[in-house]
Amino acid sequence: MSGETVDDLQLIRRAATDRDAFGELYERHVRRIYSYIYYRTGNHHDAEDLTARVFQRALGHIADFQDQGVPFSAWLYRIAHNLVANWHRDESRRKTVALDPDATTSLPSDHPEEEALVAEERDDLLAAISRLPADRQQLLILKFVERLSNAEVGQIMGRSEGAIKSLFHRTLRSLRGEVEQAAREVATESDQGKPPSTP
Amino acid sequence: LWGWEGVLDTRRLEGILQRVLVPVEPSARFARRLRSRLASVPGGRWAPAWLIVGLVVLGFLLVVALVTFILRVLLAGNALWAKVRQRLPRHRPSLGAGS
Repeated sequence: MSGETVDDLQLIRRAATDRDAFGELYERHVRRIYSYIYYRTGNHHDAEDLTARVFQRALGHIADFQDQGVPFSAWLYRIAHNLVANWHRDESRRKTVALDPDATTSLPSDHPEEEALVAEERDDLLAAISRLPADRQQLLILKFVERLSNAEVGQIMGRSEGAIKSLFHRTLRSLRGEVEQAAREVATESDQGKPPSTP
Repeated sequence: LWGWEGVLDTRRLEGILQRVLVPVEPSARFARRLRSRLASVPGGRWAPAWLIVGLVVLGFLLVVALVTFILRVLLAGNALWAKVRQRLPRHRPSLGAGS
């Protein structure tokens, strides 16, 4: 991320008047911003809409960007985070966000039954993540999807590296709790759904 | 996938997250259309403001330069006319014989 920062800064200086420079910035960052928004919204339609808004807002405020040692991508992530938060507020009636089934890659398997089971469990995990608070979802996406370090995540979320490390451990614990709870509920439902044994 | 019996190990959960949370690409059509839409947005926010300020300042300087030039020409003309008048023989009307 830091390697790109120098070039990004040169492009940012030109981008206020030069659309090609902004286009280059767009090409560099659109995939990761889209991916982030996709995992936060759970569907491609809203991910496309919000990604477009992120870059339109970035273009409108590119002259406001000040180099304070924070990479351009962190600035974009903050815009994306704010827009996603507004989106969730607007969609507050929706309690959980279901991800499109074709969204993520499935694990390679020669056995379709096993593959279906893996897909189901993956969906359960994604549903459990969507029930976490927004900052914890953001942390998991940045760490696992974008593969960012704690320091880089800290720059985006405006927290220290230590605070991110601590939040990460708390997030894993709460996610584990969510998954275990969901598994217990499934087990209880399947027990209740069993046909009564004949004497 | 889980393979846990009652308690899910945190390290195992991290491994599962690494496998499940993979980057999702936008469609090429969407990415291309958005780029062309961004490219067609007219001007940056600050570029027209700077352009207007620059044009106003330039216009002001041109007006000042023009007025200064006209004043200098007028003053030079006036001075030249004064010198010409000085060199011309003065034609004094006679006061009259009877005085």
